[in-house]
Amino acid sequence: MKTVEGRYVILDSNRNRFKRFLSNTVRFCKTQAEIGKVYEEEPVDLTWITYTQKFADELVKAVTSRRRTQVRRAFPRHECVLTVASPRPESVPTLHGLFSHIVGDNPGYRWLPKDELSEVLFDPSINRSDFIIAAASDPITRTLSLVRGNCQPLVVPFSFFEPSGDGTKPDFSNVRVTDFGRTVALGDYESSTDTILYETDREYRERTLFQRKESERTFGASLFRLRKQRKLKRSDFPTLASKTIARIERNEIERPHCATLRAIAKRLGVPPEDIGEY
Amino acid sequence: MPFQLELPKRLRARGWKVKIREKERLEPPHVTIIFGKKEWRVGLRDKSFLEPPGGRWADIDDEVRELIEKSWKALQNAWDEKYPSNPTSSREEDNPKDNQEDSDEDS
Repeated sequence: MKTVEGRYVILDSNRNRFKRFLSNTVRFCKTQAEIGKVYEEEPVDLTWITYTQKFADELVKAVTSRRRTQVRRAFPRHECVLTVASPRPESVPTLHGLFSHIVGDNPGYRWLPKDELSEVLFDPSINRSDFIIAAASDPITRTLSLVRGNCQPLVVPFSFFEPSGDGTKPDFSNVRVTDFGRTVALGDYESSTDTILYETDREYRERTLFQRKESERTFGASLFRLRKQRKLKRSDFPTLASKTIARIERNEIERPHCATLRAIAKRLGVPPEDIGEY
Repeated sequence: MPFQLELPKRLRARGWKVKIREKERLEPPHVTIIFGKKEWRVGLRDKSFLEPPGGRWADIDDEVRELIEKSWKALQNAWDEKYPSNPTSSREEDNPKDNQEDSDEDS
């Protein structure tokens, strides 16, 4: 999927509310004519943001009227539409026909509060992909669908959120995104965005590992952290002695045998080559 | 419910929060300081900044820092309660280079 970074068009009636965010990369439109002008002028890879159903409709109308005069342009364009208020159900197929990526086309999404959402989306100094901006819960498939600040989706099973030691359990019927996208709340239960990304995104893990001190970047240190994350004791590796795990974690064994690595990886639930990323 | 350090209203209004949530990266034990979009994680064993690398106490409001220092034991207890499998007190776990040949410190 093509992701969209950096160029935004806010569709709303209140310019003042967004004034401080406007720049060369964040534009504002409140009429169909303005939307159409931006659509024609700007290259692809825009993110359109609508906060009300009305402006999702205005976007559809403006783009379809331009489509008649631009027959050579391919559809759908590689653009993202962030519908903070889910669009009318009847307009959803049209939106999908016109744009390559629609986020929030279901009323089940819970978004960051609007001011916090704007802070995350329009701040060029941050890595938006490190923030969660919306979440939706599906009790049938027992999955949580998250949207990162760069519009990338992330699906996490309910089982990822195990009860904490003090007995607090996640309530998946009450999902919220808070702390400027640094926290996903499930009722009284809160998860850091950091741990969700760390467990599910290899690129995020690699970036984290790269930032660690050199002494913490060893294979042994990674194994130690991953074993802790899985809440395993050194004695929880059935075919291996605790002593062997301890020696690997202390980097006393530089190159563990393949069979040893496979046994460790199997117990940790990751491919052998991934252990060193944690 | 996350453990949230009680901060004066004016600090809360400015966006400061100090939290231990139910789901965090387990190792090493830490407390998270949040200020708007910014976030710092401070190790609960040695008060070192884990994230971002190069983070400093100078980045944190003085009053927030003082409150954290005063509440250090309560923060450690809160972590231990939420994450009994990796308590702050298990110092032998802190450094994988620890030279304890055959100890299974978890047992």
